[in-house]
Amino acid sequence: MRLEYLLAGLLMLSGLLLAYQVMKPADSLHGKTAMSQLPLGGDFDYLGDKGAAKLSDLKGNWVLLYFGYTACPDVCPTSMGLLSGLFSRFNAQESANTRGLFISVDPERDTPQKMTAYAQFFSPNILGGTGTRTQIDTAVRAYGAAYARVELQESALGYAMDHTSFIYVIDPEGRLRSSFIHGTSVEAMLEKLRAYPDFPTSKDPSK
Amino acid sequence: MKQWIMLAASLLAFHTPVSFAKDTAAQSIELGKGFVRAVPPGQKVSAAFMSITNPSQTNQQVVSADSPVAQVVELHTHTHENGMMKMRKIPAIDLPKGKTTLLQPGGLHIMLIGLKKNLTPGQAVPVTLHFADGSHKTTELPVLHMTQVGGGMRGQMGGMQH
Repeated sequence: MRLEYLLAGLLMLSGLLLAYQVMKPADSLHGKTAMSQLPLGGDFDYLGDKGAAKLSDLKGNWVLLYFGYTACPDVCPTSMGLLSGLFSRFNAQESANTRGLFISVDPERDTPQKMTAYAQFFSPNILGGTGTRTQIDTAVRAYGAAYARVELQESALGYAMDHTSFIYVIDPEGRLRSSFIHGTSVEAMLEKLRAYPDFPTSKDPSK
Repeated sequence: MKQWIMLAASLLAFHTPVSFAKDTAAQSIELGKGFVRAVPPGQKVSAAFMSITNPSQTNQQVVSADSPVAQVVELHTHTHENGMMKMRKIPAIDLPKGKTTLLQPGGLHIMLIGLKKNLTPGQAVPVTLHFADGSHKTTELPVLHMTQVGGGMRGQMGGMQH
Protein backbone atom coordinates (compact mmCIF):
# COMPACT_ATOMS: atom_id res chain seq x y z
CA MET A 1 0.00 0.00 0.00
CA ARG A 2 2.64 2.49 1.03
CA LEU A 3 4.82 1.33 -1.81
CA GLU A 4 2.04 2.25 -4.22
CA TYR A 5 1.96 5.80 -2.85
CA LEU A 6 5.70 6.01 -3.20
CA LEU A 7 5.54 4.79 -6.79
CA ALA A 8 2.77 7.23 -7.64
CA GLY A 9 4.82 10.02 -6.11
CA LEU A 10 7.86 9.05 -8.12
CA LEU A 11 5.80 8.91 -11.29
CA MET A 12 4.44 12.39 -10.68
CA LEU A 13 7.92 13.69 -9.97
CA SER A 14 9.29 12.22 -13.18
CA GLY A 15 6.34 13.69 -15.04
CA LEU A 16 7.14 17.12 -13.69
CA LEU A 17 10.79 16.72 -14.61
CA LEU A 18 9.81 15.70 -18.12
CA ALA A 19 7.48 18.68 -18.41
CA TYR A 20 10.32 20.93 -17.31
CA GLN A 21 12.63 19.39 -19.91
CA VAL A 22 10.05 20.02 -22.63
CA MET A 23 9.16 23.55 -21.62
CA LYS A 24 12.47 24.91 -20.34
CA PRO A 25 13.57 28.28 -21.73
CA ALA A 26 15.93 26.75 -24.29
CA ASP A 27 12.84 25.92 -26.34
CA SER A 28 11.50 29.44 -26.22
CA LEU A 29 12.72 30.19 -29.70
CA HIS A 30 9.74 28.44 -31.13
CA GLY A 31 6.25 29.63 -31.69
CA LYS A 32 4.09 30.04 -28.66
CA THR A 33 6.67 30.90 -26.08
CA ALA A 34 8.05 33.63 -28.29
CA MET A 35 5.15 35.77 -27.13
CA SER A 36 6.18 35.80 -23.51
CA GLN A 37 9.91 35.88 -24.05
CA LEU A 38 11.24 38.00 -26.87
CA PRO A 39 13.75 36.18 -29.07
CA LEU A 40 17.08 37.75 -29.96
CA GLY A 41 16.30 38.86 -33.47
CA GLY A 42 19.26 40.46 -35.22
CA ASP A 43 20.55 40.93 -38.73
CA PHE A 44 19.99 38.33 -41.46
CA ASP A 45 20.60 37.83 -45.16
CA TYR A 46 17.81 37.47 -47.68
CA LEU A 47 17.14 37.85 -51.40
CA GLY A 48 15.38 41.02 -52.48
CA ASP A 49 14.37 42.02 -55.99
CA LYS A 50 17.85 43.48 -56.54
CA GLY A 51 19.64 40.37 -55.30
CA ALA A 52 21.49 39.78 -52.03
CA ALA A 53 20.14 41.96 -49.24
CA LYS A 54 20.38 42.27 -45.49
CA LEU A 55 17.98 43.47 -42.86
CA SER A 56 20.72 45.93 -41.82
CA ASP A 57 20.42 47.62 -45.25
CA LEU A 58 17.32 49.18 -43.69
CA LYS A 59 19.20 50.52 -40.68
CA GLY A 60 17.89 53.92 -39.65
CA ASN A 61 14.32 52.78 -40.28
CA TRP A 62 11.88 51.05 -38.04
CA VAL A 63 11.15 47.71 -39.69
CA LEU A 64 7.96 45.68 -39.38
CA LEU A 65 9.00 42.16 -40.30
CA TYR A 66 6.66 39.33 -41.29
CA PHE A 67 7.27 35.71 -42.37
CA GLY A 68 4.70 34.04 -44.62
CA TYR A 69 4.14 33.00 -48.25
CA THR A 70 2.00 34.15 -51.15
CA ALA A 71 0.00 30.95 -51.76
CA CYS A 72 -1.46 31.65 -48.34
CA PRO A 73 -4.99 32.85 -49.13
CA ASP A 74 -5.99 34.22 -45.80
CA VAL A 75 -3.55 34.55 -42.92
CA CYS A 76 -0.81 36.39 -44.84
CA PRO A 77 -3.10 38.76 -46.74
CA THR A 78 -4.83 39.54 -43.45
CA SER A 79 -1.49 40.48 -41.90
CA MET A 80 -0.41 42.41 -44.98
CA GLY A 81 -3.79 44.15 -45.03
CA LEU A 82 -3.27 45.22 -41.43
CA LEU A 83 0.23 46.46 -42.23
CA SER A 84 -1.15 48.34 -45.20
CA GLY A 85 -3.79 49.87 -42.94
CA LEU A 86 -1.09 50.84 -40.46
CA PHE A 87 0.99 52.56 -43.13
CA SER A 88 -2.04 54.47 -44.30
CA ARG A 89 -2.52 55.79 -40.77
CA PHE A 90 1.10 56.93 -40.36
CA ASN A 91 1.89 60.61 -40.61
CA ALA A 92 4.54 61.70 -43.12
CA GLN A 93 7.41 61.40 -40.68
CA GLU A 94 6.37 57.96 -39.48
CA SER A 95 5.99 56.77 -43.06
CA ALA A 96 9.37 58.11 -44.04
CA ASN A 97 11.04 56.23 -41.21
CA THR A 98 9.25 52.88 -41.30
CA ARG A 99 9.42 49.94 -43.72
CA GLY A 100 7.56 46.68 -43.87
CA LEU A 101 9.46 43.54 -44.86
CA PHE A 102 7.63 40.40 -45.99
CA ILE A 103 9.93 37.37 -46.17
CA SER A 104 8.61 34.20 -47.82
CA VAL A 105 9.32 30.84 -46.21
CA ASP A 106 8.27 29.20 -49.50
CA PRO A 107 11.14 29.96 -51.91
CA GLU A 108 10.05 27.12 -54.23
CA ARG A 109 6.99 29.09 -55.26
CA ASP A 110 7.97 32.63 -54.32
CA THR A 111 10.72 34.48 -56.15
CA PRO A 112 12.08 37.79 -54.81
CA GLN A 113 10.31 39.55 -57.72
CA LYS A 114 7.00 37.91 -56.90
CA MET A 115 7.43 38.85 -53.25
CA THR A 116 8.19 42.45 -54.16
CA ALA A 117 5.11 42.72 -56.38
CA TYR A 118 2.99 41.12 -53.69
CA ALA A 119 4.26 43.40 -50.93
CA GLN A 120 3.96 46.55 -53.03
CA PHE A 121 0.34 45.73 -53.75
CA PHE A 122 -0.31 46.45 -50.08
CA SER A 123 1.92 49.46 -49.64
CA PRO A 124 4.87 51.03 -51.44
CA ASN A 125 6.54 51.00 -48.02
CA ILE A 126 6.55 47.21 -47.80
CA LEU A 127 9.47 45.31 -49.29
CA GLY A 128 9.36 41.67 -50.27
CA GLY A 129 11.98 38.96 -50.31
CA THR A 130 12.82 35.36 -49.73
CA GLY A 131 16.12 33.50 -49.48
CA THR A 132 17.93 30.23 -49.66
CA ARG A 133 16.61 27.62 -47.28
CA THR A 134 19.59 28.31 -44.98
CA GLN A 135 19.01 32.05 -45.01
CA ILE A 136 15.32 31.61 -44.27
CA ASP A 137 15.95 29.14 -41.46
CA THR A 138 18.54 31.43 -39.88
CA ALA A 139 16.18 34.40 -39.93
CA VAL A 140 13.16 32.41 -38.78
CA ARG A 141 15.11 30.92 -35.87
CA ALA A 142 16.53 34.29 -34.80
CA TYR A 143 13.04 35.75 -34.50
CA GLY A 144 11.45 32.78 -32.79
CA ALA A 145 9.20 32.18 -35.77
CA ALA A 146 8.51 28.71 -37.12
CA TYR A 147 7.20 27.06 -40.24
CA ALA A 148 6.60 23.56 -41.57
CA ARG A 149 5.83 22.30 -45.04
CA VAL A 150 2.70 20.14 -45.04
CA GLU A 151 1.55 18.03 -47.98
CA LEU A 152 -2.14 18.64 -48.63
CA GLN A 153 -3.92 15.44 -49.59
CA GLU A 154 -5.90 15.80 -52.83
CA SER A 155 -5.55 19.57 -52.92
CA ALA A 156 -4.63 21.42 -56.08
CA LEU A 157 -2.29 23.48 -53.92
CA GLY A 158 0.00 20.50 -53.44
CA TYR A 159 1.33 21.71 -50.14
CA ALA A 160 0.82 24.43 -47.58
CA MET A 161 3.21 26.03 -45.17
CA ASP A 162 2.11 26.01 -41.55
CA HIS A 163 3.65 29.08 -40.02
CA THR A 164 3.62 31.45 -37.12
CA SER A 165 2.06 34.82 -37.85
CA PHE A 166 3.70 37.66 -35.93
CA ILE A 167 4.72 41.14 -37.00
CA TYR A 168 8.13 41.88 -35.49
CA VAL A 169 9.03 45.44 -34.56
CA ILE A 170 12.68 46.27 -35.19
CA ASP A 171 14.11 49.65 -34.25
CA PRO A 172 16.50 51.81 -36.34
CA GLU A 173 19.48 50.15 -34.60
CA GLY A 174 18.30 46.73 -35.73
CA ARG A 175 17.13 45.62 -32.31
CA LEU A 176 13.96 43.56 -31.92
CA ARG A 177 11.67 45.60 -29.68
CA SER A 178 8.38 43.68 -29.68
CA SER A 179 6.10 41.49 -31.72
CA PHE A 180 2.41 41.74 -32.55
CA ILE A 181 0.38 38.56 -32.41
CA HIS A 182 -1.76 37.64 -35.41
CA GLY A 183 -4.73 39.87 -35.95
CA THR A 184 -3.53 42.78 -33.77
CA SER A 185 -5.60 45.75 -34.90
CA VAL A 186 -4.15 48.74 -36.73
CA GLU A 187 -5.20 50.89 -33.78
CA ALA A 188 -3.37 48.71 -31.24
CA MET A 189 -0.20 48.59 -33.37
CA LEU A 190 -0.26 52.34 -33.84
CA GLU A 191 -0.69 52.92 -30.14
CA LYS A 192 2.17 50.58 -29.24
CA LEU A 193 4.58 52.09 -31.77
CA ARG A 194 3.76 55.67 -30.79
CA ALA A 195 4.40 54.79 -27.17
CA TYR A 196 8.09 54.22 -27.95
CA PRO A 197 9.93 57.42 -27.02
CA ASP A 198 12.25 56.97 -29.99
CA PHE A 199 9.50 56.29 -32.57
CA PRO A 200 9.47 59.31 -34.93
CA THR A 201 5.99 60.45 -33.87
CA SER A 202 7.02 61.49 -30.43
CA LYS A 203 9.40 64.09 -31.84
CA ASP A 204 6.68 65.53 -33.96
CA PRO A 205 3.31 65.28 -32.26
CA SER A 206 1.67 67.50 -34.87
CA LYS A 207 -0.01 65.26 -37.35
CA MET B 1 -55.14 7.09 -71.82
CA LYS B 2 -53.19 5.55 -68.97
CA GLN B 3 -50.21 7.66 -70.05
CA TRP B 4 -52.30 10.79 -69.87
CA ILE B 5 -53.35 10.00 -66.36
CA MET B 6 -49.75 9.35 -65.38
CA LEU B 7 -48.70 12.63 -66.91
CA ALA B 8 -51.49 14.55 -65.21
CA ALA B 9 -50.63 12.91 -61.92
CA SER B 10 -46.98 13.77 -62.20
CA LEU B 11 -47.78 17.34 -63.18
CA LEU B 12 -50.05 17.58 -60.18
CA ALA B 13 -47.32 16.25 -57.93
CA PHE B 14 -44.97 18.89 -59.29
CA HIS B 15 -47.33 21.71 -58.52
CA THR B 16 -48.50 20.48 -55.16
CA PRO B 17 -47.15 22.78 -52.51
CA VAL B 18 -44.41 21.62 -50.17
CA SER B 19 -46.61 19.60 -47.85
CA PHE B 20 -45.02 16.29 -48.66
CA ALA B 21 -42.16 17.14 -50.93
CA LYS B 22 -39.14 17.87 -48.73
CA ASP B 23 -37.22 21.05 -49.57
CA THR B 24 -33.82 20.70 -51.08
CA ALA B 25 -30.90 22.29 -49.30
CA ALA B 26 -30.75 24.95 -52.00
CA GLN B 27 -34.39 25.88 -51.37
CA SER B 28 -33.97 26.43 -47.66
CA ILE B 29 -30.40 27.65 -47.28
CA GLU B 30 -29.74 31.38 -47.33
CA LEU B 31 -26.43 32.77 -48.48
CA GLY B 32 -25.62 35.99 -46.64
CA LYS B 33 -23.10 38.74 -47.13
CA GLY B 34 -19.62 37.88 -48.16
CA PHE B 35 -16.61 38.89 -50.21
CA VAL B 36 -13.68 37.65 -52.23
CA ARG B 37 -10.23 38.97 -51.44
CA ALA B 38 -8.62 41.15 -54.06
CA VAL B 39 -5.16 39.80 -54.79
CA PRO B 40 -2.00 41.30 -56.29
CA PRO B 41 -1.82 41.00 -60.10
CA GLY B 42 -0.50 37.60 -61.13
CA GLN B 43 -1.39 36.05 -57.80
CA LYS B 44 -3.02 32.65 -58.40
CA VAL B 45 -4.99 32.07 -55.23
CA SER B 46 -7.65 33.90 -53.33
CA ALA B 47 -10.42 33.09 -50.91
CA ALA B 48 -14.17 33.66 -50.68
CA PHE B 49 -16.02 34.27 -47.44
CA MET B 50 -19.73 34.48 -46.60
CA SER B 51 -22.34 33.57 -44.05
CA ILE B 52 -24.54 30.54 -44.70
CA THR B 53 -27.81 30.15 -42.81
CA ASN B 54 -29.63 26.85 -42.60
CA PRO B 55 -33.09 27.66 -41.20
CA SER B 56 -34.41 24.16 -41.93
CA GLN B 57 -34.87 21.33 -39.47
CA THR B 58 -32.26 19.22 -41.25
CA ASN B 59 -28.49 19.35 -40.97
CA GLN B 60 -26.93 20.14 -44.33
CA GLN B 61 -23.45 20.17 -45.80
CA VAL B 62 -21.58 22.05 -48.47
CA VAL B 63 -19.66 19.32 -50.26
CA SER B 64 -18.03 21.32 -53.04
CA ALA B 65 -17.98 24.70 -54.72
CA ASP B 66 -17.07 26.18 -58.06
CA SER B 67 -16.55 29.55 -59.65
CA PRO B 68 -15.88 30.66 -63.21
CA VAL B 69 -12.88 32.73 -62.03
CA ALA B 70 -10.84 29.76 -60.77
CA GLN B 71 -9.67 26.48 -62.21
CA VAL B 72 -10.12 24.68 -58.92
CA VAL B 73 -12.27 25.57 -55.95
CA GLU B 74 -11.75 23.84 -52.62
CA LEU B 75 -13.20 23.97 -49.13
CA HIS B 76 -10.59 24.91 -46.57
CA THR B 77 -10.29 25.74 -42.93
CA HIS B 78 -7.69 27.27 -40.67
CA THR B 79 -6.70 26.22 -37.25
CA HIS B 80 -4.41 28.05 -34.90
CA GLU B 81 -2.35 25.69 -32.77
CA ASN B 82 0.55 26.75 -30.55
CA GLY B 83 1.02 29.89 -32.55
CA MET B 84 1.14 27.99 -35.84
CA MET B 85 -1.43 28.91 -38.47
CA LYS B 86 -2.50 25.77 -40.28
CA MET B 87 -4.57 25.65 -43.43
CA ARG B 88 -6.20 22.38 -44.44
CA LYS B 89 -8.50 21.17 -47.16
CA ILE B 90 -11.71 19.71 -45.76
CA PRO B 91 -14.23 17.38 -47.47
CA ALA B 92 -17.32 19.33 -46.39
CA ILE B 93 -18.57 22.31 -44.44
CA ASP B 94 -21.27 21.35 -41.94
CA LEU B 95 -24.37 23.53 -41.85
CA PRO B 96 -26.15 22.60 -38.60
CA LYS B 97 -29.95 22.99 -38.65
CA GLY B 98 -31.20 26.35 -37.44
CA LYS B 99 -27.72 27.86 -37.40
CA THR B 100 -25.65 30.36 -39.34
CA THR B 101 -22.21 29.17 -40.31
CA LEU B 102 -19.60 31.85 -40.90
CA LEU B 103 -16.92 31.53 -43.52
CA GLN B 104 -14.53 34.24 -42.39
CA PRO B 105 -10.86 35.18 -42.24
CA GLY B 106 -9.00 32.92 -39.86
CA GLY B 107 -11.47 30.07 -40.22
CA LEU B 108 -13.55 28.34 -42.88
CA HIS B 109 -13.17 29.64 -46.41
CA ILE B 110 -13.68 28.75 -50.03
CA MET B 111 -10.31 28.66 -51.67
CA LEU B 112 -10.03 29.79 -55.28
CA ILE B 113 -7.00 28.18 -56.90
CA GLY B 114 -5.63 28.91 -60.35
CA LEU B 115 -7.28 32.28 -60.88
CA LYS B 116 -8.15 32.84 -64.54
CA LYS B 117 -8.08 36.61 -64.21
CA ASN B 118 -6.96 39.30 -61.83
CA LEU B 119 -9.48 40.04 -59.13
CA THR B 120 -9.84 43.77 -58.66
CA PRO B 121 -12.05 45.60 -56.20
CA GLY B 122 -15.49 46.34 -57.60
CA GLN B 123 -15.84 43.11 -59.55
CA ALA B 124 -18.54 40.60 -58.65
CA VAL B 125 -17.51 36.94 -58.52
CA PRO B 126 -20.12 34.18 -58.86
CA VAL B 127 -19.57 31.30 -56.45
CA THR B 128 -21.73 28.17 -56.55
CA LEU B 129 -22.10 25.95 -53.51
CA HIS B 130 -23.06 22.30 -53.97
CA PHE B 131 -24.91 20.66 -51.12
CA ALA B 132 -24.90 17.04 -49.95
CA ASP B 133 -28.39 16.40 -51.37
CA GLY B 134 -27.21 17.29 -54.87
CA SER B 135 -28.81 20.73 -55.02
CA HIS B 136 -26.78 23.87 -55.52
CA LYS B 137 -27.01 27.60 -55.06
CA THR B 138 -25.09 30.49 -56.59
CA THR B 139 -24.26 33.84 -55.09
CA GLU B 140 -22.30 36.83 -56.35
CA LEU B 141 -19.64 38.18 -54.03
CA PRO B 142 -17.92 41.56 -54.31
CA VAL B 143 -14.14 41.69 -54.59
CA LEU B 144 -12.73 43.70 -51.69
CA HIS B 145 -9.23 44.95 -51.03
CA MET B 146 -7.83 43.69 -47.74
CA THR B 147 -7.85 47.18 -46.29
CA GLN B 148 -11.62 47.29 -46.89
CA VAL B 149 -11.95 44.01 -45.06
CA GLY B 150 -9.92 45.05 -42.05
CA GLY B 151 -8.67 42.54 -39.54
CA GLY B 152 -11.90 40.61 -39.40
CA MET B 153 -10.39 38.24 -36.89
CA ARG B 154 -13.31 38.14 -34.52
CA GLY B 155 -14.19 34.60 -33.66
CA GLN B 156 -10.74 33.53 -34.74
CA MET B 157 -9.67 32.25 -31.37
CA GLY B 158 -12.45 29.93 -30.34
CA GLY B 159 -14.49 26.98 -31.48
CA MET B 160 -12.93 26.29 -34.80
CA GLN B 161 -14.00 23.33 -36.80
CA HIS B 162 -11.45 20.87 -37.95
